[in-house]
Amino acid sequence: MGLLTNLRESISGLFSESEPKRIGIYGPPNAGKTTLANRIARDWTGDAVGPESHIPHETRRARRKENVEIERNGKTVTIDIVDTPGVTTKVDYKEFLDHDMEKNDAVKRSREATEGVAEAMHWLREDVEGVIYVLDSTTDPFTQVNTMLIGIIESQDLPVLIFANKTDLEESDVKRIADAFPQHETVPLSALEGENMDEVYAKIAEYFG
Amino acid sequence: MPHECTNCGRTFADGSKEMLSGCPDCGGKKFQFRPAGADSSTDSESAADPSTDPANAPAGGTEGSDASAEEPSRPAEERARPGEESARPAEERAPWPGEEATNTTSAPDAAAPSDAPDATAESNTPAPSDTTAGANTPAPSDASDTAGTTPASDADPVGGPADAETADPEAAPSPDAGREDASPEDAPPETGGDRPAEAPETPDAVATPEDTAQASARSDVVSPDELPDAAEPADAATTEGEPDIDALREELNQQFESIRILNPGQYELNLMELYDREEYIISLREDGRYVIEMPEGWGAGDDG
Repeated sequence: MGLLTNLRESISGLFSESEPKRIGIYGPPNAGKTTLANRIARDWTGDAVGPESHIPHETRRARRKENVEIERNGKTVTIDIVDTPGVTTKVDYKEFLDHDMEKNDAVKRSREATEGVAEAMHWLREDVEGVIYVLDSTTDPFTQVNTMLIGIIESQDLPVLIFANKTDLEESDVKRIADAFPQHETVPLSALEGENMDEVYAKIAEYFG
Repeated sequence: MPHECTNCGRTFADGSKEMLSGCPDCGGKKFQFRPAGADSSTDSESAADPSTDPANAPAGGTEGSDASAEEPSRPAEERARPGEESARPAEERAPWPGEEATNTTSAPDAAAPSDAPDATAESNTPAPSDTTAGANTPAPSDASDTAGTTPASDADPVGGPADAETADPEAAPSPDAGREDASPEDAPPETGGDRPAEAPETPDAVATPEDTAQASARSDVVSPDELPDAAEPADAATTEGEPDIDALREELNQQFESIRILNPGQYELNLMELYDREEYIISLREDGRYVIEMPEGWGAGDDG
């Protein structure tokens, strides 16, 4: 297997095309992960990855968009984008009731979200070769979930980019995120508005190419 | 093999968690605990009845109060500690009751009640004369789970089981009692008096199979006869104690739980645990069950 793998990598190199890397988009709920995944997918494939919502835990199953080719500075990077459910340590259906959701639906959503977190954690362990960690730059990044996940990612020696999302909002504080995780590169952006996407793609190509 | 399924006879090593969700072979939920030292037949049955004690106590008190009065007191002292209790069946049981009641005749009964928690109680009541008490005692304690400790204690003390058997004959007012055992030394004296009274009751119980006896014992006052019978079956050992199992399950949950279901729709997640596990949960159910995906399956479907 090792020989075959090496051979394949060599051939890929000859054609300046590498095997797609599975890049997981992780982060807490409502950070804008799916919005980012859709932005990237639309920009480079024309298709979306999944529905976006302001209601937390809209993404309750990891979704993958394969063979997303990103060209940057004459270099092409092909990645599989894995949009994951927001990771959290608590899921409570009551938080969905505020969004005009019936209790039964809220309970169901809660259960699915919990399953989604379990799945996301499994993917992180088994199936991801790089991580885009998306944070809502209007919120405090010093949370147990963020610290734990970043720690896990670091323990895996996975390449990671931290995206400070929602810079279009007034309360956005990118520096707070950069200060929270100084060991990693923080890229500000607004996935919703498409702000600073050039730098986003440049960093993706740099880190995951 | 301290634990044995009372239904199919499958045995489990001490500390085994296999039976936490019922017997893997037959689904049975009743298990019998046999301390290493204890003989099978001896005693164990009594254990089953822990619950009964309270009830018994009252009954016993009335019946055997006389004889028991003194003895109870002893037991009380000894019983103070579970382990010890097991050692002397008859007496020990008395202790609790005894402590309080030492004085009164009721002591014997009282003891039983106190024991009841453990299951031993029953045995006491009957035991006095029968020895069943003795036999039971050991078992009871085991059953409770303390298991580990108790067994040993049983062995030492009066030799609980063994003694019991022999001893009772005297006490044996009731035929059954005699055969079972009864710790000779302790039991006889005490029980002797008590049992007679109880004995009458027992007859009924006796008729029923061991299991039945156990069952009834838990909820009802133990009748002398029942105890003996139960003892023979060895049911006593049974750790039915669902409480114990529940406690163990809770302990396991705390150790291994990756998702805690607080209420339907409310969950707490242990991210590190979820991350560390090879398998992952793909379907939750509100009753606490879940479906997992194993690594092989995952890999297979994944790359498609």
